[in-house]
Amino acid sequence: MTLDKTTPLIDFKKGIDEFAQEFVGNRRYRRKFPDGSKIIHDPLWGTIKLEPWEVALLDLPLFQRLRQIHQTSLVSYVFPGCSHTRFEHTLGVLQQTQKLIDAVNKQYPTDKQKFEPSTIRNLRLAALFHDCGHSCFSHISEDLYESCPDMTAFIEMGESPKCHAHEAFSALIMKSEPVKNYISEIEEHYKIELDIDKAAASIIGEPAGGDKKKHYETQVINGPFDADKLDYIFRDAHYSGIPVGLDLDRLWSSCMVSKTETGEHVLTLHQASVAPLEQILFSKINLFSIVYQHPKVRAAEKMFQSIIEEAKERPKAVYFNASGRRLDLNRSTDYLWLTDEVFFAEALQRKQDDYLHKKLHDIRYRRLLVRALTISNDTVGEDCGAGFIQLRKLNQRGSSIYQAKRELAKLIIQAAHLEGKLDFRDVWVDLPSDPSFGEADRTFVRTASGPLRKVSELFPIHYWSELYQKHKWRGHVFCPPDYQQKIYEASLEVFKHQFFDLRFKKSAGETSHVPNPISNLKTPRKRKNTVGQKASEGQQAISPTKKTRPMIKQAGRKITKKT
Amino acid sequence: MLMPMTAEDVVVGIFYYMKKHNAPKLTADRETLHRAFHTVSEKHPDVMASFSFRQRELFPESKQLDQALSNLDATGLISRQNLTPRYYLFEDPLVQSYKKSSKKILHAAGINEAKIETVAADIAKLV
Repeated sequence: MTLDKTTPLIDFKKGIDEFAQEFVGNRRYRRKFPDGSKIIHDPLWGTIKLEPWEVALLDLPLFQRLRQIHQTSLVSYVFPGCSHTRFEHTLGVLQQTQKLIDAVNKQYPTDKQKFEPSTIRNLRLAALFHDCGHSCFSHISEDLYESCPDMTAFIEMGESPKCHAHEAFSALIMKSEPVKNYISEIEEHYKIELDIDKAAASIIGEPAGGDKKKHYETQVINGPFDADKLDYIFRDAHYSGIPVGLDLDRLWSSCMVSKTETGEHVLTLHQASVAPLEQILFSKINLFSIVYQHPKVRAAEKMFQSIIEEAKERPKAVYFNASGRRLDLNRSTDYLWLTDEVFFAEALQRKQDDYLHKKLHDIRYRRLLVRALTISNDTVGEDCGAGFIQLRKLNQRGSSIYQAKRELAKLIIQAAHLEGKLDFRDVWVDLPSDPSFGEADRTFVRTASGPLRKVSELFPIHYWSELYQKHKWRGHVFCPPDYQQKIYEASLEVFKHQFFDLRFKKSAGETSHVPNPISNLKTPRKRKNTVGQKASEGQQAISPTKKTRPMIKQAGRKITKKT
Repeated sequence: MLMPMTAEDVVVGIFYYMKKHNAPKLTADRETLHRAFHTVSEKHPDVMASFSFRQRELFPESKQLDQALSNLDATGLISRQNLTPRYYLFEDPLVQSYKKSSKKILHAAGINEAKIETVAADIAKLV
């Protein structure tokens, strides 16, 4: 990847090099290359054997820092057991890579093995490096640094395929000079050859050199049932206490390499062994709906996001230090220095009346935001499709969408008459994106009767998973507990006004545990004037509407002008 | 406050014109749809700027298209019926949604009705 000479790109390249120099190239942290292999015991996979050259790599601060990054962001605040780190996951991926390779090789005679020893080494190298580009709390910081100008400039250059920002980081770190130099030393010391370019290509999901005949090699690290997926699904489920049943032995036993109609050589399964793939998909759904998208987890993540947002806007007041370096969170590469430990360490250094001290301790001591409104198929009124799609579409990614959600939060605060009392970073409209369920379309199956077929052709499991996700999906408005009722009522009004009469059932408040939930659904007119009858749900909602409508309109106008 | 234009607005526009031109249903086959949208995105990059396609798999896949179809399905603008739902059906709220919001949003983004109608015709030929 060659970089253009525009300022953000130069900054980007410099940032990667500085990071790699400190975490790989700095000789202060070097240890003597080990002579022997090492055994590590993993609670999930048991014995993991590391080659001496792998130990030499794992000893680097680049990998040791992964011990300070939680695999599942802030999930441990809801599922206390789920406090495993990227380091454990990296070892697990290394193990799964070997298992997958061994399983495929076992299907072929010894003189026609699909994975040569040199390929195996490169894939193990890729497994080790695949997550080294992660930052604080893994994926939630990824959303923030991928919109930084230097990262945007890098993405716009279009020289890397569409991949996650952390994957791009991992591949770039791997190809940096300090890493290249270190790997050369390893090659010399252990008399082995490692292909950095091939390993980096596997991380970003590109067949090395674009060779279609070698696509299966990349798929071990980045494919429909890659080593990464096999480890994270098992590991996250295990530590969150929601165990899943995955028959990996069956999956491995039928895994082979086959040629598709387009001439690509890909990993395939036998028709009789598709069940483990179905299990993977269902486990993924479960993890998303139960664990990753748990409302409290999302609330904690929004609190993290608000601190980073503040640090980006007021870098003089809100900042983090790592290795004597003040981090600039408007530079994507500075996030590489930010680990979970660095993030919370700042809390301990600040005085008690400091803004950041309070915000960080709110997360540390689990004083989390609460739900003020639940947005779902079940809580939105019927016949509100036209408005609901305009709200729900804000679960796409992008800076304009992020901005629109922040503007909505401002509108809600204004409608609740809480300007000045409530910081706009304390209210969040959270609309999670759907996880991808494309695996069924990406996996080929060998049938007894003829050509390869996609899993989705044999059994439309992805329809099921999509339906399940559709009905499990929940968006929320989050706010501090003291303002729950006011923000709830204001949210109802703002959404009704902004999204073509989008109305909510009482359950939108009930499921959020709002003290006095109401419904703003339209009610038949005749009930409105019934003498001696208790006011209906619809009537309760009428008064705030009348009071707040002019003010909401005004607020909307102001914000439209600004944007 | 006008919401930003997203892939949903483009898909709503395309489906609106497909429905208007009496296309009764649309295949729900993911590969066919992604391939069709990818082909059209190369022909009309201005209209399809909200979509990006990942080329590293067996066919071009767009996260934005997946999300848009899921969102349209979830909000009742399109639906799938039967136990093996191989087709999407265009529902009435799709028309309201286009007329009430997506049309304005697309217009504000410089995408006129004729353009989106052309894209819809191209998609209809491919699916």
